[in-house]
Amino acid sequence: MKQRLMPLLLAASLALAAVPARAELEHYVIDTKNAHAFIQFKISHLGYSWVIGRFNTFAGGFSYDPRNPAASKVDVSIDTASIDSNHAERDKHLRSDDFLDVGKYPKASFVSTGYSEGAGGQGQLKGELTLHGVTRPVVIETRMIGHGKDPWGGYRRGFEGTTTLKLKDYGIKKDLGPASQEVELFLSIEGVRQP
Amino acid sequence: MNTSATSAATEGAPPKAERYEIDIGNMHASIQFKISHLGFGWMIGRFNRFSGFFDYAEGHPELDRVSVTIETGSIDTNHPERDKHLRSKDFLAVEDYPEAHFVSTRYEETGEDSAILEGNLTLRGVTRLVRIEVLKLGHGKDPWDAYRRAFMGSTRLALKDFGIEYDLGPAAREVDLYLNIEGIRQAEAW
Repeated sequence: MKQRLMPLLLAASLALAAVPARAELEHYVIDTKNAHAFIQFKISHLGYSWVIGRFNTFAGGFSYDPRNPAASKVDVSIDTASIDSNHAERDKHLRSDDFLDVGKYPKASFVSTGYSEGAGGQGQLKGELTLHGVTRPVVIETRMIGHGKDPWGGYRRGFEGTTTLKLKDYGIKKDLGPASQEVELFLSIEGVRQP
Repeated sequence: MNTSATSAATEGAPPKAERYEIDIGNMHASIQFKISHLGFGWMIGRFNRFSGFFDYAEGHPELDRVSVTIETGSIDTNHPERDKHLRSKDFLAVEDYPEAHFVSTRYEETGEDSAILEGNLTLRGVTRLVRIEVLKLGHGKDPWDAYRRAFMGSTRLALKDFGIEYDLGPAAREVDLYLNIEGIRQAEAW
């Protein structure tokens, strides 16, 4: 029985293979509604410990083609005033013109320009980051966390990424000392596939 | 000769630990957690309110100790509805257990900048021994004339070990904790 089925299965799979590969760009909206996405930052405090914070409000989406990951695209917009380091006075200072100057630059944005993915879901996402009115190319080291159906009939895919920015590169002149010239970003992004 | 004189003097005065209060006044400390969301992404949160101290004696790790109290109701995952659920009996049951405590029992230096900190964590009324991987960060004077010392720590807890039976799926049975602790040295008279 098994032997008789084999040629049939083989024929079926050949037929499938004969269908020309078409682009299967999947579109995802970042799940900020249920906060399954996080944008965090970490900067040294005097070389001793870290100031860790996050941006509470942001939105965006990504496209991903499992057959051709290089076609993937990401677009994120961050509400700079939503900075939150668990210290209201410090956050007020971070919003001022010493740092993010959120009155003048209420949004930061990231638009990808390229993506490459290797084995195990490790990748590199290139793009333009606009922060404090300055646009610069950045490279984000990424990893696909996972993907699959959720219990509510949707389909999800998640990535995490890290990158390091120099404050001076974005025109932030306030000097926090030699240990605090750079800030590390940690991004955890889960998207819900759109029909 | 000098050496023996010095060591005799050192032996004369028993080693004493310095006490550091965790800098929550200017919040140079954070207690974060991370748990998988269905295996696809992360849920990252923090406890906004906590306090504590650590004792540190250079070269005398047996004198080092840590004590931290966390206000469980201050859990914050950047989603108020979820936080409400996390405070409920399904998770932290903060009305019955408003505080979590950690009290160290052993500190062992394993390298120049690394150590293992063991202690009793009381969470949701359950006390268990946990093991925290510690990284020594910097120390020194700050621009306001105080002396600071900092550590990072990480550990992993199984929810069920602390009586949290709510099932978040097979990818989310354990939660990672990240501790970032900067202390300000206190005057001798503590």
